[in-house]
Amino acid sequence: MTRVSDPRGERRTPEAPTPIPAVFPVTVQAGDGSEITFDQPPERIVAFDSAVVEILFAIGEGDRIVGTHQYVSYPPEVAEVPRVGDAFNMDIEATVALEPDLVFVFFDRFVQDLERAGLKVLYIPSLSDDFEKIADHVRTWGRIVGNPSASEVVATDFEARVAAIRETMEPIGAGPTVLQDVGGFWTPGQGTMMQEVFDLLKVENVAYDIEGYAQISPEVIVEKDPTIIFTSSPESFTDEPAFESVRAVRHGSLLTLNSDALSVQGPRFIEGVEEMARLVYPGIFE
Amino acid sequence: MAVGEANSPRVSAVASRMVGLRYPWWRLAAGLAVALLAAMVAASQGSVHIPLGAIVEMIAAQFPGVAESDHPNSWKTILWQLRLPRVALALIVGAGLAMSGAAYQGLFKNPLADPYLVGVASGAGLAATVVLLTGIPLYLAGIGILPVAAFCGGLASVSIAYAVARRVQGTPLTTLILAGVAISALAASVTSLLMIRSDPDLRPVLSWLMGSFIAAEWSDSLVVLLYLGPSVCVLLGFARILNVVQLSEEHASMLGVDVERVKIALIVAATLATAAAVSFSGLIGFVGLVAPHVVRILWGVDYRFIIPMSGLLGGTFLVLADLIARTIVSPGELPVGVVTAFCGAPFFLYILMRRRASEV
Repeated sequence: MTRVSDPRGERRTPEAPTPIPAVFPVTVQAGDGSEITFDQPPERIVAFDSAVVEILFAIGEGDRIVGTHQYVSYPPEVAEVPRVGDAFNMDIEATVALEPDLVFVFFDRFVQDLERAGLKVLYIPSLSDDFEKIADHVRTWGRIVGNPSASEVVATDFEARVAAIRETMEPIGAGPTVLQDVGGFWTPGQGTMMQEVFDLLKVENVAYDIEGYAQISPEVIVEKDPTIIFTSSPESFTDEPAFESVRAVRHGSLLTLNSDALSVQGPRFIEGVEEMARLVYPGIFE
Repeated sequence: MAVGEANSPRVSAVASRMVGLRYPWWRLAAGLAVALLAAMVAASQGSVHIPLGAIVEMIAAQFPGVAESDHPNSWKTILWQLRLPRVALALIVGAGLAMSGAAYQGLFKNPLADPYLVGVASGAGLAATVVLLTGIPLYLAGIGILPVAAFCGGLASVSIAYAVARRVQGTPLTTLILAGVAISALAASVTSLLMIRSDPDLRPVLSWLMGSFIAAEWSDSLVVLLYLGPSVCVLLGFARILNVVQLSEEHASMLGVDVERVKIALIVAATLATAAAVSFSGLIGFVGLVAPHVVRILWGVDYRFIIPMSGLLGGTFLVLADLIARTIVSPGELPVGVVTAFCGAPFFLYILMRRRASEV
């Protein structure tokens, strides 16, 4: 496994099996269907998105980031990057003051304002399905910043790790029944990235009949009787007499994921999948 | 209203409707029967289908001499630990909110009064948001922190409003309402600020703010009843005086009523009942506002009847609203506050239209 993130954010080209030359101009399709062209790599990027920040640091290009939003917390070196808004609001003046040559946003609310301020904007909505597309996003950013060799390494590593899990899962039949509680019985169902992870790990999601995220009925939890429950507050199950009979509660299989990797659609997402795999199949995934 | 107006047509109409009528016990009995029927219907339905016969058998098995029924354990758990505690809590919370609302509408003589008028809701909402968003552990020594915080937040904001409004010679109710409005606005804006400044998932906060019985336990009902019982006694005990206060405070004082004491007793009772109710269920709108109006429009102006009947109607309404909330998008759930407004508002508009038609 190749580790390519650089703790100091210094620009460094990870060793690629075959170097890939950077080619400009680069054209990228934006979320609204328009095409954005780069004649040269942007040097000062306001990356208003956790995933893009993680991607840029992972390919060793983190020092191009001059601004981001309040809730970007990974990698640790991003702590020093100025903040130009929180998850819902963007300070256009502060963004302009950073003199970026590219502003990336994951929602379109401020695109017009930013463009009116004369900034170059790339808007691509967050991935909502098919987490394997994360690898393509990594490659796209490698092309944009002129470091396709590094992005290829990260993307290939991501794909290889997905493939490794898929291969390990090959001989395994139906896995355990699981419930993921993200707080107050809110649960991912069909059409979510988590469902794709569940499918990859061959676990049966008790909330499969739910579309997107919803609060699941506790009656269904009792009836479907999951063997594993992922939750950050196990007490909400252990302190409730109704769940005494549920297998996950009886066997103490109330598991908490250590990292927030699965909440960011960046290169670390696969770490979250691997952590879940180790928790579900302790003997099989080391 | 001045004392001299006591002989005005409106007042004498009110008076004549109040006196000379026998207390309609049979209506209360019918209301109770309807509430129990609604509770049974609600217990028989849910996202997991359990046949009605099985429900009846499982309940009958509780009585001595009836053989234990042979049904899956999961059905028993669902009925006894999930469905019935929910139905009970919805009934109790609905009754508490509606009775508090009725008392407030009478005391403040304000048709817009609901149990949240003087700031309980926003104080409780702020406290709940702080707990949910700031990483305070949800449980401490096995006790859920969320209801405790919500209860304290609700009481704190009403206490502040009351302290601000209080004067040496009494508490002007208008000042109390305005202080409540200001404190509500302040608490609501801090809540919004916390939400907008926090990245973690807002869904648990939003569903709390819209009310839900998803985590109901028997012990919740017990705790709410501990507050609700004494509060209801106070509200019912002062119902006759509320009738007199409708005419005018001066009128009431002339009859030897200590109006200030009545105010404090009613506000304290209604606040405790409401704070206890919202602490386990979150903020459920509309029940406390509408139930008393419906009772008043359909059955008259006597608070000795309005308060208990509002309780029965509010409880029934909330049981049915929760039934819809937990079945309509099964296996998912909706916040019950969405259902109460969605179903309650059109019904209320219909009642208002009907009244207009009958008055013409």
